[in-house]
Amino acid sequence: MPRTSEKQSKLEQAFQAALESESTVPFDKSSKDEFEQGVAELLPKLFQESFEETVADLSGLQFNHYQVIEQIGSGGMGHVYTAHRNDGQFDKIVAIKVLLQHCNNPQIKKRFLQEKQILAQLRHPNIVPLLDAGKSKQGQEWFVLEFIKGDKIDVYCQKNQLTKNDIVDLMIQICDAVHFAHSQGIIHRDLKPANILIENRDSKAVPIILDFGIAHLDSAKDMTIQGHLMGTPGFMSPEQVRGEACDGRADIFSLGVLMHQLFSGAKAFAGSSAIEIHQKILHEKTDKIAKLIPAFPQDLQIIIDTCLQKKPENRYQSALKLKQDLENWKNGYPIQAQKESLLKVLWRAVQRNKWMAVLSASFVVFGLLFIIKYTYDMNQQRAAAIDANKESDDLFNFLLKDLHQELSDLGRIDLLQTVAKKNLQHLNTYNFADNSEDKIKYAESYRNVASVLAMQQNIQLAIDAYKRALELLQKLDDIGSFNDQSIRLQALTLSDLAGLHAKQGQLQLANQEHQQALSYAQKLKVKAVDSSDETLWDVIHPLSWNLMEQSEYKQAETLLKQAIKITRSALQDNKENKQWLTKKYKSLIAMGWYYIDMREINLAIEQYLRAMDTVKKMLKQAKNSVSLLHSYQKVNNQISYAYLLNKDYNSTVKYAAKGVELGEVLHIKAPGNLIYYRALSFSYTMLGNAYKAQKRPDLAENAFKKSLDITQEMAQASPDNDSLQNDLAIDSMNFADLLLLKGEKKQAEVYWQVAETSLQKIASEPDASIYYVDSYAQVLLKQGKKIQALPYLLRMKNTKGWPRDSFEKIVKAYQLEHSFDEINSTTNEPK
Amino acid sequence: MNKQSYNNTFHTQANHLTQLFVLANQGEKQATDQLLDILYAELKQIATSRRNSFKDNRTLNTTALVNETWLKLKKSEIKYNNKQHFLSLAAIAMRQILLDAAKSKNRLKTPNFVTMEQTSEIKPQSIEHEAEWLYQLDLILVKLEKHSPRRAAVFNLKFFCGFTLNEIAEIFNLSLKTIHREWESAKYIIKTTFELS
Repeated sequence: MPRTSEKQSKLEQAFQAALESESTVPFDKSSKDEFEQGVAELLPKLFQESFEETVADLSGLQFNHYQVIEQIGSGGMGHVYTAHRNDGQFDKIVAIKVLLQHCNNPQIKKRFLQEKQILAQLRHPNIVPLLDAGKSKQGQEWFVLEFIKGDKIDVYCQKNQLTKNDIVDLMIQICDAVHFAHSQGIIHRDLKPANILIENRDSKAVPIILDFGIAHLDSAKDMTIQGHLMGTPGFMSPEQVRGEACDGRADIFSLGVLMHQLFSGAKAFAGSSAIEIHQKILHEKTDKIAKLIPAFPQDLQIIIDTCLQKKPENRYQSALKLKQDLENWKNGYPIQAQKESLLKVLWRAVQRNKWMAVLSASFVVFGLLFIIKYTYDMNQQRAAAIDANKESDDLFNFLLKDLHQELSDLGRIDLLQTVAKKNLQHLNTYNFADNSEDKIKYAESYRNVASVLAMQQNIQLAIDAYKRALELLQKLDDIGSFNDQSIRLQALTLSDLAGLHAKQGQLQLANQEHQQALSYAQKLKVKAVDSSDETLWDVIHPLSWNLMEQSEYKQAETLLKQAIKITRSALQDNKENKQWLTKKYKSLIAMGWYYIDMREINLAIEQYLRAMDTVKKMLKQAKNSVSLLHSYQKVNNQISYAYLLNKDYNSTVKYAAKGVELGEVLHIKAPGNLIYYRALSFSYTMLGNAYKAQKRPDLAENAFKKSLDITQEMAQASPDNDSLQNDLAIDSMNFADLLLLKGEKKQAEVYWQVAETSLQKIASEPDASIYYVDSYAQVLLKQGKKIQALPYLLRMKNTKGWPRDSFEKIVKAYQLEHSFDEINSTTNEPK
Repeated sequence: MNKQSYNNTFHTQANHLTQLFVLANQGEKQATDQLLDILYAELKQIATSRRNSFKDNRTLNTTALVNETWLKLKKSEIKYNNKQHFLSLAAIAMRQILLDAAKSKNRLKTPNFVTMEQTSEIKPQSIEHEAEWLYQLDLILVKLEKHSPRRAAVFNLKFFCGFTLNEIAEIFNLSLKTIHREWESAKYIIKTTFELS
C-alpha cells in the first residue's frame, strides 16, 4: 500500500532524527505534557471502548436477528443476556452468551470454528441446544442458546427434598447427555451445579446441562491464570488442577463431586481458598457420606468413590458405564464397579422373599446361605456332610423358584442346577411323615425342583420329579380338607408332565395327560372353588400351545378364546392384579401366534398390541423387572415379525428397533442369559429383513451382521444345541443374500457354506424338525445344489401342517417343477 | 476430529506458565506471544468484572488493573518472581487491547497523520483521532523497543499502566533519577517523531 511504505519511511526518518537530537537535550526537569495524564485520560473514548464499554455496548444490541433484552449474569468467562427474535419469525426468548476472549493464535481460531460446527450438532434432550453463533466486529464470540428457566440442580434437590432414587434418576439422564457429548468428541470440563438446571417439562424434572462445549471452547479459560480460581473451584479434576491434558474422565470426576454434594448436602472439597481446595482435590479423599446421612447405601458410595479416583484410569472409563452402574443400583442389581460376590446377590434374593418376614430365626438363614455357599464352591463332599435340617429345606424350596428367577436373570443357571439336583437327592431319601399337610408340602417341593430342572433342560429328571409329586398327591385324593389343593396341584402337575412328554415326542401320552388335567380343573370349577379359574387357565394355556404345535387349530382356537375370557373376567374385579395381567399377556401372545399361523396378520397385530399394552401396564408397577423387560422385548419382536409378514416395513423397523434397544439393555443387565441374547439377534434379523425390503442394503447388512455375530457366539458355545445351529444357518444365509445383492459372490459363498455345515447333520436325521429341513433345503438351493435339495423338499411337502404355499413358492422360484415330477415318477418316497 | 488431538492442544500447566515466563524473559517470541494472549484475556476479564461492581461510571484505574493481575499470578500455583518482566508484559498487553479497539470498526481511515498537539484545540476529540494517534504511537514504540528496550518499558509502564516513577524505580531496582531520565527521554523521542513526520 502506497500509504504504508511512504509513511513508513517518513516515520523512520523522523525517528532517527529524534534519536539524534535527543542526545543533546538535558532531561533534568519534568515536562508537562499530555503523556503525564496516562492513556485513560488521553484517549478516553478508546479506553472506554476497550475496557468499559464492553457491557454497555450490548444491551439493546442486535446479534443477527436477536435483540438483547437485558443482562442476566456475568461469569468470569463472559456475559449472559436474554434476547428475543425480532425478525418476525417466532417470539422465543433465548440466552446470548458473549465470550471475552482474544486470541492471537490462528490455529486456535481455526479450531474454534470447527468446534462451533460440532456444537451446533450436539442435540440431546438434556443439553441446551446451540441455536446460533457469530462474531462481533470487535472480535468477540457470541453464542445463542435456548433460555432455560429452572433452578440449579443443587438448589432444586434441596428445595424439593429429593430422595436418593430421584437424584439417581436425574444423574442417569445427565450421564446419558455427557456420554453422548463425549461420543461426539466434546468434553464439558466445567460440570457443576451452576451449569445444570432443572427444567419442568410436563411436570417431569429434566436436567439440562448448560455451556456444553462452550466452556471447552473458551481457550482463555484454559490459558488464563484466573482459570485456576474461576467460579466454583471444587469441581475440577486433579489433572485439570494441574493444568494437564484431560479427557472425558475429567467430566466423570466432576460428576462424582456433584453426586457427593447432591446426596450429602455438603461440598466434596471445601476450603477457605482456592489453593486449599485444589490441594484437597489433588491429595485428599472425600468424607464418607454415611457420616452425614446415616445408612447411606454402600453401593452408591462405591459409585461415587470410583468417580472420584485421583487417577483417571481408576475411574469409570465412560459416562455410559457410570450410568449403567447407577441403573444397576436402582434395580437392586450388583454394581460393576466392584464385582459382587454371588453371596450378596443371593442374600438380597433371600431378603426379598416374603418368607423372611415369617421366619425370625436367623440361624435358618445362615444355614441356607451356608448350603448355597458350599454348593457354589462345588465341594460335593463338604456339601453332603452338611445335614440340612427340615426347616432349611422348606425355606430352600420356597426360595428355589424365586432364586431361580433372580439367578437366571443374571445368567447364573449353573449354580441352580447343582442346587436343584442336590435338593432332589435329598428329597428322594427323606422319610416324610404320613400326614396330609406334609404330603402336600413335599409334593410342592418336588414340583419346584421339577420346574427348575425343566428350565435347565434336564427333561427326564424333571419328569421323574413330577411323577413323584403326583404319587404323593394321588395318595391324598380322598382325604377331606386338602382335597381341593391336591386336585389343583394334580391338574398342574399333569399339565407340566404333558408338556415335557410332548418335548420328548411322546405326543399321545401328552394328550392323555392334558385331558386328565383339564377334567381335574373342570371338577374344581364345578365345585366353585376359589382358585378354580386360575387352575383352569393354568391348564388350558399350555394345552392350547400344544394343540397349535400339532396343527390342531380348531381346538386350539376354542381354548385360546376361553383362556382370554377367563383373564378378562378375573381382571374385572381387580384391574391391577399382577398374576392375571401376566396370564392375560400370555394369552394374547398365544392368540397372536394363532392368527399368524392362520395368516390373519392384522388380527395377530391386534393381539400383540394389546399384549404390549398389558406389559407396559405391568412395567409401570415394576419398572425394573428384568423378566418384564424381556416380555416387552418379545412382544416387540413378535409385532415386528407380523408387520414383516404384512409387508409393512416401516412398522417392522419401528418395532424391531425397539426390540434391539430392549435387547441391548437386557444383555448388559444379564449377560449370561442366552434367551435374551437370542431374542436380541431376532430383533436384528427383523431389522435386516425390513431394511432389505426397503432397498437399504447397507443398513440391512449391518443388521444381519449384528444378528450373525450373536448367533455365532451362541452356537460356538453350545455346539449340541440344534436350534442354535439352525439360527446360525439362517443368519448366515441372510447375510450371504445381502452380500450377493452387493455383488460379492465369493463372500456370499463362504457364508452359505457355513450354513450348510451347521445344518447338514441335523437335517439328515429322520426325525429332524421340519424347520431344519426347510432351512437346509434353502441353503442347498441357494448354492445351486438343486438335486441334493429335492429329497428334503419332498419331506417338507409330505409333512402335515407345513404351509403348502411356502413350499410352492420355493418350487416356483427355483424352477423345480419338472425335476420334481421326475423324482416323483422314479420314487414315490422321500429318501 | 479426534478426541485425543483435540485435547492435547489446550495445554496449560502452572509449570507451563512458569516456563513461558522464563522463556519470554529469555526473549523467546512464541512464549511471549502466548503470555500476551493470556494477559490480554486476564486484563479484560478483570476490567469487566470490576466494571460490573461499580454502580456509576467511574473510570477504571489502570494501575489497579495490572496489579490485580499480578496478585492473581502470585496466588496461583505459578512460581514466577520476576515482577518487572511480568508488569512489562502486562503493559504491552494493555497497549494491545487498546490497539485492537483502535484497529476495529474501520477507524484508521483518515489518511492524515494527526498529532495530539494539532488536534488538542478541537475538543471533543473523535474516537477516530484517538485511534489514529494510538496507531502511530504504537509504531514509534515498536522502534523504540528495538533501540532501547528499557526506555520503552518505562514509558509503557507509566503511560499505559499508570505506575508512578517511584514505583517503576522500585520495580526495576534503579534510582529514581535514572528512571526519570528514561521517561523524559522517551517522551521527547516520541513527540519529536510525531512532529517531524
